[in-house]
Amino acid sequence: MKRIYAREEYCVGCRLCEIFCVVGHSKSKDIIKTYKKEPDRPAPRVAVWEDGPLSFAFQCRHCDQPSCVEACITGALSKNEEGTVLCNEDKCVGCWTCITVCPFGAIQREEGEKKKIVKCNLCSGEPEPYCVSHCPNRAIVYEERGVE
Amino acid sequence: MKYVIIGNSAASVGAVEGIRKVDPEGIITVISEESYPAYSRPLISYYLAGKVKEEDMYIRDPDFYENNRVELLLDKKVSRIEPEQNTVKLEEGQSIEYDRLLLASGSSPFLPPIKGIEKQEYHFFNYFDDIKEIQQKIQLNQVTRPLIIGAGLVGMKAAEAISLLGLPVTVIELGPHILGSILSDVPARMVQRKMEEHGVRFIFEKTVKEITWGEELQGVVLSDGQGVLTDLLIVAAGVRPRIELVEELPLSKNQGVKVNEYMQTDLENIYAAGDVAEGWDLLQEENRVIPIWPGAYRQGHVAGMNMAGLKTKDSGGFAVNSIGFFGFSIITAGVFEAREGNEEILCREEPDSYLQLVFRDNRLLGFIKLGEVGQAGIFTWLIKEGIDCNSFKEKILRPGFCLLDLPEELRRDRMRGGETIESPGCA
Amino acid sequence: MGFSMLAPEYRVDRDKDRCIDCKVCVTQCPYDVHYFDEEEEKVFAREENCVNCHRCVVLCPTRALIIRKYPLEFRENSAWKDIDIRQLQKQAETGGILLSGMGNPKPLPVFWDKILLNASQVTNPSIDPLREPMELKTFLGRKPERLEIGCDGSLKTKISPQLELSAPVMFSAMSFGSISLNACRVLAEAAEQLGIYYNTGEGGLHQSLFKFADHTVVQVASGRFGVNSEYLKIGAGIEIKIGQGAKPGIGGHLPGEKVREEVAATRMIPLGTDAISPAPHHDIYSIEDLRQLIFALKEASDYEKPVSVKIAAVHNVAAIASGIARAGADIITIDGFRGGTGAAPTRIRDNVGIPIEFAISAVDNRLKEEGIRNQVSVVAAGSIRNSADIVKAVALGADAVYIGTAALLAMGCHLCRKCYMGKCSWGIATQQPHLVKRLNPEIGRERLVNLITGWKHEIKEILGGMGINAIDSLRGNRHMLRGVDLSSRELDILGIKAAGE
Ligand SMILES: Cc1cc2nc3c(=O)[nH]c(=O)nc-3n(C[C@H](O)[C@H](O)[C@H](O)COP(=O)(O)OP(=O)(O)OC[C@H]3O[C@@H](n4cnc5c(N)ncnc54)[C@H](O)[C@@H]3O)c2cc1C
Ligand code: SF4
Ligand code: SF4
Ligand code: SF4
Ligand code: SF4
Repeated sequence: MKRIYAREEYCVGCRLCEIFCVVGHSKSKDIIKTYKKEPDRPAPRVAVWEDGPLSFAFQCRHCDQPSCVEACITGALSKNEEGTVLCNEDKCVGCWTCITVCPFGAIQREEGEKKKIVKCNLCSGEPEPYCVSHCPNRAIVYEERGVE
Repeated sequence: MKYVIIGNSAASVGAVEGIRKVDPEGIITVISEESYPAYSRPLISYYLAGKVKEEDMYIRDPDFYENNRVELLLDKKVSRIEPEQNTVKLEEGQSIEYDRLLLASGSSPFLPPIKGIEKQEYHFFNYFDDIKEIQQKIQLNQVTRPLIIGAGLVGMKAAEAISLLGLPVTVIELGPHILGSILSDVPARMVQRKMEEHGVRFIFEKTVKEITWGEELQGVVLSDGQGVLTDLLIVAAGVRPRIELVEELPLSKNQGVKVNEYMQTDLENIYAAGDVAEGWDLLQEENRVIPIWPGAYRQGHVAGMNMAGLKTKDSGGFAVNSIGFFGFSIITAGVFEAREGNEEILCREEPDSYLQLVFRDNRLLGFIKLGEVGQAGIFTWLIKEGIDCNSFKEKILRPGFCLLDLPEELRRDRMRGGETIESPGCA
Repeated sequence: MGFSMLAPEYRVDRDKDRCIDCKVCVTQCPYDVHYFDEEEEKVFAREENCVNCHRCVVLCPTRALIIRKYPLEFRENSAWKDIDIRQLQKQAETGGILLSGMGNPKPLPVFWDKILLNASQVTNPSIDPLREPMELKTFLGRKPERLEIGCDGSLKTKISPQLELSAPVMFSAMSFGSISLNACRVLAEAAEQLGIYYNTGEGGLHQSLFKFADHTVVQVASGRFGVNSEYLKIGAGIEIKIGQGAKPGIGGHLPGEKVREEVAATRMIPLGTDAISPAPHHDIYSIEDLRQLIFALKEASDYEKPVSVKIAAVHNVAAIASGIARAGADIITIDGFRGGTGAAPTRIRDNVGIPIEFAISAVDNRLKEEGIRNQVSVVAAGSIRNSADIVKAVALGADAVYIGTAALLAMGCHLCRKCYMGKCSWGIATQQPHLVKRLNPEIGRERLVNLITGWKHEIKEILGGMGINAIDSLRGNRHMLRGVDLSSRELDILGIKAAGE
């Protein structure tokens, strides 16, 4: 399946991917409104990890055999027919069992009061995920690589 | 092909999904003595605390059984397995034939020997119905001083839920501290303090000797003679695999039913999975019951695929737990004590968080992570894969430890990940 | 640093209705302008540090930023212009030589803009390049006096080694060290894809770029950095650098902090040492010495590569060019006074040298007069900005041009001219790993290839308009040029007529 891959050698640590992930999953999908008028906007599903010059954006791998789905105690997580691993946020109770087993550390949490996870949904419905299309340096790509 | 599954919880759902991956045709019958579609056992405490509504207790959509063409028999208890005839017999007499049978009967609460208990009212904290009874009692204002026997995972979840309902909970524990199966002393005290801040009271190193439930005086007598008053007694003294159905059958069992890597018992067409089974423990390198939800699902899933004819090995697992009390998170996996000389413990302790790592020959064997969640799964992965952590051991202690901290080669390999089979055996 | 009397040069205007305090500007500014105040939970700017590189402006996702000239009025004075006062103040504060990056920005006339091109009407029909073949292919190197053809039609004359260009344009010398490896890679990949050449500059050739050697001109400069026999043999051509348009008569200095591992290895110098190119080649004090070096290099490369000599356009450029041709060079590169640089003393950059337009015609005239024009190709460099400039340069007598600044602009440079600070926010003129990453060679290459591809179309269009179907037919064809706003003396030197003549 098509997945998002990071290219650490070109990531400039700008975090535009995080910002646009939030915009893409907001109510208005307008960057200024999202940040100025939606205090309950979602947390980014992609995280930029950074240490000195090394940085890259990372999000769910949509594993062929997702540990998180197996582990989820509520059935909130599932893998759909296209292979996308999705979270039904209404069901999630924030027990962090999935976080405890995700072998990539790819699951994020909502900030503040909301005790729920947020995870990449490949921007279901969009031709290209928001983080990918808004990266200024092609440091994340969305492509089919197959098993290496 | 006729598949019969005894039990309708994590392992059972895993098996249905495993079977249907391979065999869209065969007839699947799921039998449960409970009266609900598969619900989340770990959620019963959330339900009691009012955090989850009844419709959100169910781990699959209402059309799950229909879509997977499963005949679901609720409120039916299996009383016997008859391997010679390949049938299971229900309590009410009906016999059901199988070609492949899965024992997914889980575990049942253990009742410690307490004098007078048979005459008294007490509750377990295991099944949905247990919780509904407790809930009803509380709603009728019949409870003012709840008492819980056992400060293990179940007892503590019960304590949290009841405390969240505004009642002053007392917990009696035989051991020296809470959560003895997953925490060592220091972190256990930290969690205990958090719980005490929310009004939970603990009594350690005592058992309940006797129950006195008179007209006037309701309460228990502890091993030191001390009396504790209560009007709601919850027994959470551990669980035992429900092997009663195979007790008589010629297959090996200790605590639970022994299974091979295909989740098969000694009887070729009888499989077992979940809390009832002794699967492979990757860390202890022996067959053992690891009573956790993710493991039950995984084993059920592997069993299902094997039952349908697709040979699939179970990778084995180890204990992994994620719980939280009053918003304070506790994540643990593997072992938490160093035993042999080549084992080493690294710790980072802060007022509101704690991290402990156990290594053997530079390989992570287990961890305890309190008060912070982070990317805990990477620890679990390090344990499971037996990665040599020598070159980045100190970094693992860092609060934000993530893929970034791995050596370059390992990191690049990980970043490509996902398409390679991520073996599901983290549980 | 204590109190500074310098006023900020730029002002950072942040539209608070748009800014979402996302901190992109904070992470992206290498000059420490933007910062996030934890207490106020807002982004602010230290304007005095701003160099107007546009990184934040381009990356700000809400278009909240405008960088303006700091609105600071000096009392009007035609002798003391703002820039003169500011430069003086800066020097008074530092006591050093003023340094600058890129080319001369002074408002001296740009002669390209005073030269106009011809087009056919009625008598000599124009050509539509979309329907008819149009040749831009250019060969650089010594051309034979005459051709001998055998009875069977085969060519008997031995042709000297040539560089074959798909269009009369190359990427000029920019060393690894002054620019990043990613930037070098962009030049190399684009040159390969376009069928042209780039020039290593004096920094040697990094191992990872060996695979583009067929599209590489390797340079030998006064510091001899990175020069060994493999280097000389691997390139498609060799260039001896005598001078550079931005700083004629001056050597080069790459500060030690830019000499990181890869640069040190490529230049073959110790890690962290200053790389100093002397002003002259210490073995060249005459045309005869130059001849020796030219032939030493030819010898070292088995006479298989054309050798070029690069000089700055200075007053007696024509005589020097003649000497270079006679010394045995195959190509002469002339770099005009607007040529770019990584770092040059400001006063030299802004006051030394002559415009490239005059140098081309002077050299072309002189070589023709002496009957040796065929012995060398002439490559013009310094301030070629677009396809029309190329057409004009060729019509004035150049065989091809080098572009430097234009290539960098295509990659992302915004001409802030702070190259010498080594913190290029676009990842071009820097060696700092976190900045180098900012230039993704893949994107840089695409952009550069786009630029030259566009130019090729334009050149064909212009040639077609003139009724010419090969760039060769335009070379030195000054009838196609007319001057406006030029004195008759200037017209004479350029060898072109005034508009209307
Ligand atoms: C309160 C509580 C909280 C928990 N929290 C967590 C947690 O946070 N994380 C975690 O990993 N684990 C947790 N666990 C453990 C987890 O619930 C078990 O590991 C998991 O439920 C095991 O699944 P299973 O399918 O093996 O069996 P079970 O869930 O035990 O289900 C077995 C089913 O089989 C039925 N059955 C048994 N015998 C018969 C018969 N003869 N005829 C018909 N039906 C029969 C039973 O009634 C039951 O419905 C918790 C357990 C409890 C009790
Ligand atoms: S947008 Fe691209 S360059 Fe910026 S942080 Fe994300 S991955 Fe890196
Ligand atoms: S959340 Fe983790 S385990 Fe689940 S699919 Fe994504 S990467 Fe895999
Ligand atoms: S945190 Fe949410 S999604 Fe993750 S296991 Fe718990 S309920 Fe499932
Ligand atoms: S990048 Fe733009 S929106 Fe973001 S903090 Fe800077 S000015 Fe504000």
